[in-house]
Amino acid sequence: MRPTHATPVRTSLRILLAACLCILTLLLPYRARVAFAMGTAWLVHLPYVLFGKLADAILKKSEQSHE
Amino acid sequence: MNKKCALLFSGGTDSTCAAAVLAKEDFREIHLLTFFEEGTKGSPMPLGNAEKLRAHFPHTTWHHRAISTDKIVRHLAYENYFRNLLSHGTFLLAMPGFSTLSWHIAAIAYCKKEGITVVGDGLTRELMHFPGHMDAVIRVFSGLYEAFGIRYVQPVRDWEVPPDRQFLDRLLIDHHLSADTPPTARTTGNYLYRLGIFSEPNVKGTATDRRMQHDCYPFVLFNIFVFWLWLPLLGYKRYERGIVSLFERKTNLALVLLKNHFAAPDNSKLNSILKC
Repeated sequence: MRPTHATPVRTSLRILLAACLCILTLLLPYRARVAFAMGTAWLVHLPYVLFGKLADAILKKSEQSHE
Repeated sequence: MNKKCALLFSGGTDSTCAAAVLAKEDFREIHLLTFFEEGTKGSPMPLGNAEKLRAHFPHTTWHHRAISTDKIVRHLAYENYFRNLLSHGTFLLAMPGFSTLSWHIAAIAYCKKEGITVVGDGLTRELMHFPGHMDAVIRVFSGLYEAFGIRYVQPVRDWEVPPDRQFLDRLLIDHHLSADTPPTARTTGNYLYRLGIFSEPNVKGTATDRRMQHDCYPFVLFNIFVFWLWLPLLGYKRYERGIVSLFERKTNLALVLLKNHFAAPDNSKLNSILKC
């Protein structure tokens, strides 16, 4: 398991947020729980995907300008 | 003798490699079982790698089956919900584990029907926080298979795993980064690369990987519970104990469902759950 280097404040905030998500998820029926899990995954990945696409475009431009 | 086996097949690197290893071990008939459910409905069926295996091992008979386990997952997650919530607390949110157990239940039902006595899995030692990847839970699942005269094998379990890549690297790696797995390492990707089945030694996490593989249950939310809640509060040992205890109980439930199913297939509860 990879070690984490979170500060106590950050850890507490994470626990609080995860606990809220946890309680909400426990209350959901099956289909809503799956939809919530998929929605959360989409939201978490969104900034990375957008940044990745931007970086990809910049790298492609830079490769073209070197050719 | 016609040696045959079934393999839990997502079409990713590890399960494709496990299929290749089993084909090399003289299994002449291999049934690739791909399971799908509500959480994976947008994910592609792994037809490409099944075709590559067929082409590479023409003397092996390959069958590829897609089986829905949606109702089994729901049943495992919600039966006796409040009583289980009191006993196991928030671990009841270990949905990827229910998903894995549902594959095993469906695999046992399939194998009994087809007269198969060996079931393979492409598990390695990655993602060890997943219930289905923990040694103790694997022993529990092996016991379930043994109860029905089936041997559960993981031919690539102790192979090396490639260096982890950060998510951003994965987004860029197809076009701009070269493979970073040493060519001599005994990884599943290298094995398939050397056989000529894969064009690169490590495609894990790339867009190619996402296209060729059927997803497992969307696990970001589960990872949040593990890394932000359970591990900081409990530590790994207590987390593992809690998960094992939950899956011992759910596997006992699976045992009863399967026994009733084989005793009276037409009227069993599992029969109605399997009919999806």
